Amino acid sequence: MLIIKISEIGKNITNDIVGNQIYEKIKAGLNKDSVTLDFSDVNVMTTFCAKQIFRPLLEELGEEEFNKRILFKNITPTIEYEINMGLNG
Amino acid sequence: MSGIQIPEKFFQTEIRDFLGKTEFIFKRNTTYIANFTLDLSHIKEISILGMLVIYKFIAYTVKNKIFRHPTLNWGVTSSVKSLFNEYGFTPLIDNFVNYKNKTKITESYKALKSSSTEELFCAPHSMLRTEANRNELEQDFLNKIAEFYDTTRNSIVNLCTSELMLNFWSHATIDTDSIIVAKGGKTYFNLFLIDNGDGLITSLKENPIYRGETDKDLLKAVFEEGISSKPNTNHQGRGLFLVRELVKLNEGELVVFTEGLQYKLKDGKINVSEAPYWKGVVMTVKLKLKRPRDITHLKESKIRYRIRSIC
Repeated sequence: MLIIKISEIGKNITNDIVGNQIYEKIKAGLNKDSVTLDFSDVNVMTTFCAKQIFRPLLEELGEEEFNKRILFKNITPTIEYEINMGLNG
Repeated sequence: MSGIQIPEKFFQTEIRDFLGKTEFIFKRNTTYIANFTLDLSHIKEISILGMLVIYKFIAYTVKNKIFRHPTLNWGVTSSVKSLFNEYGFTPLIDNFVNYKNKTKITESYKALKSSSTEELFCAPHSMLRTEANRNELEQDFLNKIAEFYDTTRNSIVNLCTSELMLNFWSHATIDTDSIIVAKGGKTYFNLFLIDNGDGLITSLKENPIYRGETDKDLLKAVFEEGISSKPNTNHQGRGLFLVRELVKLNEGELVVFTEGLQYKLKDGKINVSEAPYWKGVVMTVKLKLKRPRDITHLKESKIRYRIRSIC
């Protein structure tokens, strides 16, 4: 299981540049293994980035594989809420 | 000789009057207006938003060459200039008084640093689209906010700030046009944004399905969930909605002047009314943070997929 520390890519996930970097990192990780996304030290994520990163992953993997292969760790309730919104956006 | 005199006290009510006196700059024909004076010498008390609209008025009229030989009257003492200097506006205004090129203005923004003591202050900053500027904004705003507030307050304040930054980036037509300033304490946070971009109504009309609506209905709709000028993109139409909901949850106030209308949310009530014309957006967000309530207090709607969170 690969662990990706999101704050090493960006503490503030607020624009398409950092959003794309995170998406690509997760994609690369999924090509080898399942991934755990560690959200410790992440300040904020915009609704735009939540959808930009996670909606395509859900569409590519399907719900079952998404839940099996992408785990979320140290996530604040606010960011969890936003990602859920992004998945359903 | 024409001109505008700023009153002794220059707060939200007076700003509306000021916008009424200045709306002619957006309707002018091609001829210069001669001998205009902006008189700041009577100011005794002024809000940050007051300084921001005065600065933006000066910046817009200089850039667009509205006046021939205009005069800016600071008064004979340095007291008014000191008020503006306290919040970093004097060098910005001075740059336009000695307006030569865009580079110098950009450098002036970069020279301003945010200060954080008992209170949080994020100095006026332009919102350029360059990666370097975005990084600076994150440092001067989002990281400062995160250092200043606890987790819950940070999640409220930084979400509002970053969603609004993103929104202004998306409708600003000229990069140096958008300015953001913030001031906060442990139990409050105030955010001010201003630009001369497309405005919220014009932006929403980019989406053809909204073109038949009245401007008042559109401005009210801008803050509703799922309303976006950019359908079929990663814009969900949730950014401004979340800002509005966070203002409601935290008994705050949201005031917007844009394109001849005012949107006001106060005490949980929304009112959209006629207002002086401002090209672009003037926005104030005030949050009370004594008993902070983040977005998890909102009812989630239309949820089908949910992530699996571990520890």
